[in-house]
Amino acid sequence: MNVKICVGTTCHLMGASTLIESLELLENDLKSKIVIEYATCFSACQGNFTPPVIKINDEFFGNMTPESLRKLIIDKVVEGAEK
Amino acid sequence: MRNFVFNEAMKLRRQTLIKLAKLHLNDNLKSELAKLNKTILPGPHPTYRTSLYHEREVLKQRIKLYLGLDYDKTKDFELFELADKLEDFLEGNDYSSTDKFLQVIKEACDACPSGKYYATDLCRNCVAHSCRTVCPKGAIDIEHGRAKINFELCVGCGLCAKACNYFAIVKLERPCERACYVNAIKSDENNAAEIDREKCVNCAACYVACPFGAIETPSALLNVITQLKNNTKLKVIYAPSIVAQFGPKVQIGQIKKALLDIGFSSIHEAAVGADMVAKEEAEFIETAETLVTTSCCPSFVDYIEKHQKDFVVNISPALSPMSELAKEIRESNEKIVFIGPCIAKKMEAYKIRKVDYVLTFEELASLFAAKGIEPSQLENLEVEGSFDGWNFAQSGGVANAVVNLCKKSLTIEKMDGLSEGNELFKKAKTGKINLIEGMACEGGCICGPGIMVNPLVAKANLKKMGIK
Repeated sequence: MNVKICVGTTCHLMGASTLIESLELLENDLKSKIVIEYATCFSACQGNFTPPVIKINDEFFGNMTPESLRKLIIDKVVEGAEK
Repeated sequence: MRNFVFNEAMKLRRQTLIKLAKLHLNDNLKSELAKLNKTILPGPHPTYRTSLYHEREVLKQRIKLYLGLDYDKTKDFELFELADKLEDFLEGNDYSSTDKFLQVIKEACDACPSGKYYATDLCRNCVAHSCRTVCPKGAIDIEHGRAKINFELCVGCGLCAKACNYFAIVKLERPCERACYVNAIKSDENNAAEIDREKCVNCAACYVACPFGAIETPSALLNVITQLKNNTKLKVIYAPSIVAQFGPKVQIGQIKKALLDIGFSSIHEAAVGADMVAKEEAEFIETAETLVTTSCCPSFVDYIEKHQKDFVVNISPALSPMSELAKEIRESNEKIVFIGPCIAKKMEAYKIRKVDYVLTFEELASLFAAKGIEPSQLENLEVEGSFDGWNFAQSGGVANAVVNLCKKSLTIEKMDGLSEGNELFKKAKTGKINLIEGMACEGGCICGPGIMVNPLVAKANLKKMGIK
């Protein structure tokens, strides 16, 4: 699973750095199931997404917080395992 | 070191700054200002507080401070009144904030209870009632099956809190008051926080601590944008604590390029000024008979001037890296902007008069966001300054740089945060110390009030900086 964190200027200002920190704290078995990348501006916040924005595989998610990101990753990993 | 927590109060400040910068850049500020608080908080439900009208009112006051205005002089203005005379306000006039770098927005202050002990409902009305036994003033009654403190009698000694096995008695402190090591937070007649200017050293610990975002700093962001729009030549000096501030993909050279692209005329590292200061201080200390205290941290200098008056003569004659470099690069018809993590630098700019505008990293990033600039996609320009110069950004760095240059062996003490001030200067009265390095923020500038990333990340990145 590919997790892209937008670290563009706006997302950075709206807390992307705390998302990165929270990913460091994920349990190892979760961490091993995802690939973390930093991306520069998806231009997604111009549309329907509130920064900070992230992308998991091809799907965007906005207004992320460390807690909501963690929950989302767990949900997605479980979903992936069920398929 | 400051525990960096990104919170909603910061988010709102940044959103508002981006919005204001965008409007001003596009010449829409005049027409949009009157309803800006409603645009940002559209309702119908409140976002932060219990009442939408309250939070809009608070935001209105915030906007005035972000326009660089003085809270006390403009608190009764409506935004449409400001819009009418916007040009005047942005050029700087009687309503501009000049000498108050931290201001309490009274509408935002929750007037939290201060310094009193409360018996909470964790009280189990035990048999022992140790709280009542230890209280020297007989201030604890048992009412409705739980302990209750009589505030008329309580002297706040805290013995009851220590005695309770359920931790049911707590001291409620104002976060601003607790954060302030120079006791500069008072209460006004409505119990809202008030800053005692005689004591305040502008370290901005209260600004960081307040969970309501009630303590704000007047911003020069819109003034700088006005100058950019007028094509004034603006030189930039940025603080060494800029390392890592703009996220993992942004190199410092790319920030330089971004600043040039925005229209600043030339970009300079304060680390270069730091090298100059370290050299000057090292030479001075070699011949000095008495104690020398560093002068890079404006809040530390202010602390000595206000709270350790005996040591004013010991303050290093060198200016701070910011002012030293500004003096060096100053040309006529130009203005100088300093970008750093610091609110006390606004005070230094006002007192020393070498720099015209001071922005925080937050304010600069808001300008980048408003302009849609992504520094990570720009060319990485060359960066100057030595490792020691860059290292001024963390506690211990200044003293280190001076020691490396000084031929004499030195006894050094560090004030890492204002909390250490009292003890240290008591020691300085008796012991033989050559140099005191002072940083008002624990951890140094990388822990300052205007930072954007966890200081630990910045600290790790500092190691890689500078020509060794």
